[in-house]
Amino acid sequence: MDDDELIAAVAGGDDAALRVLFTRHAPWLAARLRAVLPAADVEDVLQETFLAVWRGAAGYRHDNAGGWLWGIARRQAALWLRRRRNPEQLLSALAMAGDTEPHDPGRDGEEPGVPRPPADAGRPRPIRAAVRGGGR
Amino acid sequence: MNVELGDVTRRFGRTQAVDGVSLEIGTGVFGLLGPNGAGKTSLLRMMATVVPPSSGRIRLLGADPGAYGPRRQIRRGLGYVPQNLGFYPRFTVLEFVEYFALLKEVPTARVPRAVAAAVERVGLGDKATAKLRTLSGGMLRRVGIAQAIVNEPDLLLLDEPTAGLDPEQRVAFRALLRELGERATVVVSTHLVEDVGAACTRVALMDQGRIAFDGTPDELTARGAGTSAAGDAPLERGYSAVLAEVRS
Amino acid sequence: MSGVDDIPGDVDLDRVWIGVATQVWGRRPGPVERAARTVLRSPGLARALVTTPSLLLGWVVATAVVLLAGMLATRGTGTPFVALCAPGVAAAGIAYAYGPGVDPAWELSRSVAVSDRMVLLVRALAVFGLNAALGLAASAASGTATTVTVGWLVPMTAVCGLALAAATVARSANVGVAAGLAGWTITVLSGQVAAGRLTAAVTDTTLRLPYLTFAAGCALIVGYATRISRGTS
Repeated sequence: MDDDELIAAVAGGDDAALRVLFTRHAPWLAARLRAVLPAADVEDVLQETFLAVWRGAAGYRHDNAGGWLWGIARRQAALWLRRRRNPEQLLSALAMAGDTEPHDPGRDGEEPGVPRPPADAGRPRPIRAAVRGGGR
Repeated sequence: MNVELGDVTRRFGRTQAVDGVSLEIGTGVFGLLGPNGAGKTSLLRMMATVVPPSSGRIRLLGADPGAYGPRRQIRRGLGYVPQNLGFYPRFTVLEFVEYFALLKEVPTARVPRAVAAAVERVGLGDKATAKLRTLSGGMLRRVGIAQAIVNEPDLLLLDEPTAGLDPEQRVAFRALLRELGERATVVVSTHLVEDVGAACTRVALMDQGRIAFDGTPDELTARGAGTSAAGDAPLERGYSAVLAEVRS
Repeated sequence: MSGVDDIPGDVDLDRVWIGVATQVWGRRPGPVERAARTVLRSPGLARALVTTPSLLLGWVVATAVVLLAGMLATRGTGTPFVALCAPGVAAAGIAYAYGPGVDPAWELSRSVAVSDRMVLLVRALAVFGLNAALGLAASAASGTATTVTVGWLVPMTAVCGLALAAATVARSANVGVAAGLAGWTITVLSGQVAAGRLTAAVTDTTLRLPYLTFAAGCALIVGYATRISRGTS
């Protein structure tokens, strides 16, 4: 399934689709957030981001899933920092959130300090490889 | 010691299933080897507080399973996967694991996270909301393991857990066992010698209700060295040699 | 995989996903389960109660339909069919409440902190209470004499006890249902032979003590059959 189909499935309440979306996109979202936030905050913002995806997938218009996800992550980061009232981080977060240009994950690698989204973002990475394998 | 058995016996009708077993087991993965009918399941059921011994002393997690209060306390820290674990076909994976989390009295506020973590830990995250009747045998085995670890047990008892798993799943499962054995006592009954070599820090060989050997996998291997005992692998030869010895 | 190198080492994505999954997968207990939690003071018992097979909607509807038919037949013929069929219906429900014949994971259920006996007790009482309430409603609506209306509650206790004991000892819910129905049918027919009335088994007040004694005996058998030392394999 491509991203558009996955997001449509998530909008229909398919938790397995959300899981695939997470394995596909959480790594690069984490990397970008980590460039401006401490690790613990990245985890919280990322969690809120995917919960917002779960609740708001119906609002997705079929264009550029990466940009849509990044938009949500940025909003959640701003919300998170505002709640925490951490002015120093708020500044950088505002700078981040102020950039209204929708990000195309395919182009962003050119910005210095922002990691390129993986070329294989379409390939799901197992979250946990404890006991898995055949029969899926 | 999480498990203390003193001269434990168990009779079912005229069958002497367990015939004087004394063991002390601490943290780590403990393999219980033996042919079918050796008494492994009966011994495990006593450790799971499902049946009491006919005679002998049992202490589990430092408490006496014979009394109601301590037994309940033990059971909160217990994980058990019976050999033939039945399933509720209309439950989803999550509902089944949650059901047993609640029956094991995991604090309610912690249940949702514990359930999610257990389901992911056995690699069933993509099947979490699937009904059990739609799952394959190998997946159901993993559901069984998920319910057993959902309360982060201090004592985990698994009866023939690798039956029905394919080789790849078996390898992953042994890795999970080693991980769990770092902080808990894990007792695995199996008739597959290769499971023991790969996952266990200690192994006991049971035959006709008694412990015929108790030591490390290496020590069991050593028992087969230089003998003509049957087996494709050194550990198997050790197993055969010990069995031949006690039966002669 | 090139993507893996980009993940910051200090961010645990597994933990993040578990956090997301906890919310997405979390189940909110319904009003009945929440009420049961408060009353029983045990979330485990409450969950066990609302998952009772013979308390699921389909079963309750079937029970109501049988009693409704009994009520209509009673109004049509004057024979108190509700009083005669309520104990049998309740017995079937009780046999399917809990036990080794109903619970496929019985062995596992016996190793958990919430004891199987407590689950059995709570489920059996709930099924009994619901059947009694439905039966009373049907009985009242069919306009039979008060002695008949209330009279079947006592034999119902005995028949339910028999069904539960048989189901537990035989480890089969169907055996329990069969025993309950057979026992009740024999009782009703013997009343017919002895007193000439089908309703004798329900209205004869001298039978109440034997009924209750029998029910108590069945309860003892259930207690004995579910003691921890029971093991057959």
